[in-house]
Amino acid sequence: MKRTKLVGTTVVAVTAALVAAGCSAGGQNAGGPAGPKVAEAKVSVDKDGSQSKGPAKDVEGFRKGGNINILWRQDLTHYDPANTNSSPDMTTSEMILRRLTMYKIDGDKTTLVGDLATDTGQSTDGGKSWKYTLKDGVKYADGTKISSKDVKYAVSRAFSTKYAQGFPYIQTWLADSDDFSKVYAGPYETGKQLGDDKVETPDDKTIIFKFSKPRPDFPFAAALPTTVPVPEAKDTKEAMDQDVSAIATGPYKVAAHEVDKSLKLVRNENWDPATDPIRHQYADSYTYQFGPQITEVTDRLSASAGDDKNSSSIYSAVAPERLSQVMQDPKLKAQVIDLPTSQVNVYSINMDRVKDINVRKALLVAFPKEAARTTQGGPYYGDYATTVGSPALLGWQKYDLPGVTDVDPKGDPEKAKKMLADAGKSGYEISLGYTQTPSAEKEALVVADGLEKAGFKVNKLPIQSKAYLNTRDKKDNNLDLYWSAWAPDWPTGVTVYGELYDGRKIGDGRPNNSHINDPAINAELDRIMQINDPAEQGAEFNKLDKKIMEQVPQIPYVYQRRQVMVGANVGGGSGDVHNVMNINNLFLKS
Amino acid sequence: MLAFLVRRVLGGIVILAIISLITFLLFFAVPGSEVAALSCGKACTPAIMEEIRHSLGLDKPVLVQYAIFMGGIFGGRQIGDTYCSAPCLGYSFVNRQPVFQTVADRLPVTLSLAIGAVVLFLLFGVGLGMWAALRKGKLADKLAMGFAVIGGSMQIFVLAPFFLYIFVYSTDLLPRPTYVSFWDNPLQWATGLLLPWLCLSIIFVAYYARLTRSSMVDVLNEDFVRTVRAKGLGTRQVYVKHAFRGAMIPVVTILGLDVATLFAGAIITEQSFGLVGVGQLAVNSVLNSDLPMMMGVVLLAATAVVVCNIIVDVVYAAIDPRIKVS
Repeated sequence: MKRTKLVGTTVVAVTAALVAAGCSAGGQNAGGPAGPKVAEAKVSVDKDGSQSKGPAKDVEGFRKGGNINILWRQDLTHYDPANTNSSPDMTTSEMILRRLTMYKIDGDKTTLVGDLATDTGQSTDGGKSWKYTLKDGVKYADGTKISSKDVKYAVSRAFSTKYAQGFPYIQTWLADSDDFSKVYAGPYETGKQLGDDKVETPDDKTIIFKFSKPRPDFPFAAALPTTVPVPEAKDTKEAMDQDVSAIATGPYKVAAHEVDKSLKLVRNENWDPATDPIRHQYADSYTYQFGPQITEVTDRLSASAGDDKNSSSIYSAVAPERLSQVMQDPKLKAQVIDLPTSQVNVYSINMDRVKDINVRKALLVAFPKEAARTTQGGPYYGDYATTVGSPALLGWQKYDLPGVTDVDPKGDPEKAKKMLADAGKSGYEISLGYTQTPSAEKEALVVADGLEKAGFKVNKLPIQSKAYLNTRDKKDNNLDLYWSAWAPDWPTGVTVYGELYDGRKIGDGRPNNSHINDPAINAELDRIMQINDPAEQGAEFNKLDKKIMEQVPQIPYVYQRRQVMVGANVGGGSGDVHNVMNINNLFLKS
Repeated sequence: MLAFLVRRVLGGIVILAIISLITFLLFFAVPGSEVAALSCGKACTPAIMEEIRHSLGLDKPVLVQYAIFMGGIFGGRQIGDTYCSAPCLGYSFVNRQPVFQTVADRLPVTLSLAIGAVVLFLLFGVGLGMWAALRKGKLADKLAMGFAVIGGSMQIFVLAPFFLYIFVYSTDLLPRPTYVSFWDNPLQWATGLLLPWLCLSIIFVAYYARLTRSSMVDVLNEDFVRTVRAKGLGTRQVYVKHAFRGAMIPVVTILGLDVATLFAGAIITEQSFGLVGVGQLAVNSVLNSDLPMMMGVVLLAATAVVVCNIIVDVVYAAIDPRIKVS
């Protein structure tokens, strides 16, 4: 779960709505001025392991050999899998370190498949326990076999407070407590690994996770770096946060890492493509150059002079000041990969203060989506949103809700004005909170203008950038309307609806910042969370989305997009599950 | 001279101690929980927060924390279960790297950038200023000062992309700016930093040319110059041996401050050319709310200013016989 207001913070999400992103960097990557339209999510789970076998399907036009440079403004924050969580870290980590499960992307289809495991997990008790079997022939870079006991040790060490930066889900579920390190402090502190009552490894190939409650989403959580195997003998503790060469299992291993300067990945000769349904080994090596800022990255890739033609961005979007120039030049546009992301940008309505649903509906009808989007780059910023859930979620479908999903993106101030008058709320006063940055201020101004045209009286309240999240997420924030965004950690509704719309999770710092608390929705959440079939659960979440939108706790306005770029000699550009460049698919054209 | 130096160094140490205390209080005398939260991550729980607070010593009184911090600089200290050897400035909240080593690692890039730029802008800035002063009121003077106005109004963030486009992306005349250690390959060191040096120099050359010219013109009107002229000294001797030294006093003063600023990180230049120096470290530290790293950069900047001021005082005495170190 994460709030994605700050660039570079955790964004782990699935780009299931890969409308055009799966295309190579050859031509049809970027959308035109109107931008590609949102498509229905196509996420599935490979339950029987039939799609979990290697080798991976080749990228069209691939060629082997050469070195690809990756340009990024700063060193990866964490290398240790127990600490890894941000998008650039995750996508790099996945080339080096395999997990129990992982996502296979093929065009517009995203499938959760077995990675080190033969399938996405077997449960015979409704999700209370999950059993995995490691594939034959999976090895570390030094040629030693991977044992299921290494996965158990890795999960055990993730309980340590040293790894507070990492994903907490598996630890929380095993301990059945948010404060999991109090239940079990990890092997360093206790000298023991998790007990067999939590994680059992009956042999070197089998691992069974046991929970006190059904955890139907565990196969998705098993794709997080928490399940990257770490042999106890190779655990270098703090040192592993800068050097994971000893535990490499993917197609590449770390050859050299100069902190804050560079990272060199070379082929791992002990990676067997026959065991891997996802990854390739096209380039001989990758050289990460840490330091170039967003504008420099754009300029270097645009010019593609010298070795820069063999370079790629990883997370840096095309610099906003260069976006128009790049997208109007057919040659440069062909180097851009336009990624749909799983982030939904919304304006939350504080339901503790704006109690009248007619006022909330009037806000939604008056809201100038088009003007707001234009301030952030127009169609390249994203597609108009009508749902609180992302199209990247499993089970997402566009639905019709008159008065909500059919509102003109320009806003309809006259209709909103009438709605306010009918509700006896003409001149309703709204406190609009926004970040005090030039970009956010521009957007807030047009939003305020649109609402004022509908007869709202808007008090604009700029909040200092660093204080914004804390201020907004206080229960008593004294605001009525405020910008918010959310991207899920995996493509089911669990880390979206379960976090943002559960009325029992309202409080300071909690993500339910609209403060919606509807007993019917809470009860429905409880029911859906227990559904063991992801597809069925997804369909139910989609119905819940509609019920939530009927209450208008938020005004979703954009499914955000991101434009990343490759050098002129780089092919295979596409997005990955973390809303960034899938660097493993890249290859040098010549 | 020795007594003067000792006095200035002691004074500098006191100033640094005061700056370190103020900086420490600014950064760390906020509620402990908030500082700990900066080091706590996605899985942050009250228990983890408490442990971080304890391991960072944030549960101790602020002045005790400061004493421990200063003690770490001279004698090392224990942070959590890790021993940070002297000089210890703590560990980054973001990637757990030692602050001192990180700053020290970035310093060669920044020093190289600063040294090359200083040599260039002093050479051309002072030279141009002298030339203009000697031709006061003539076409050459007007051309030189015209250049100074144009150069001085330039900004790095404009010049850098322009230079990159002209010399690197379009024509490939120069290599893309990069840092190679002087000791590994002096030629690559120079060619890799040539563009950043040129960019920085153009702005500083303009400024120093104007400063030198105006200072030189003033000195040439002073009585002692008239006296040495009356004594029959040649123009070259008057200008170089007498007037030039006097004219350099304001130049040295400003140079001291500029060098200190550059040593602490030419932030925009490093950002524009993707050089991983102290300036970029400062920016990333601020963006990541990495307080220990910010503290390290601020202390480096303060040290650079203090040291440069001491050097400037000594140079004053060396170049102008009217100034005595006592």
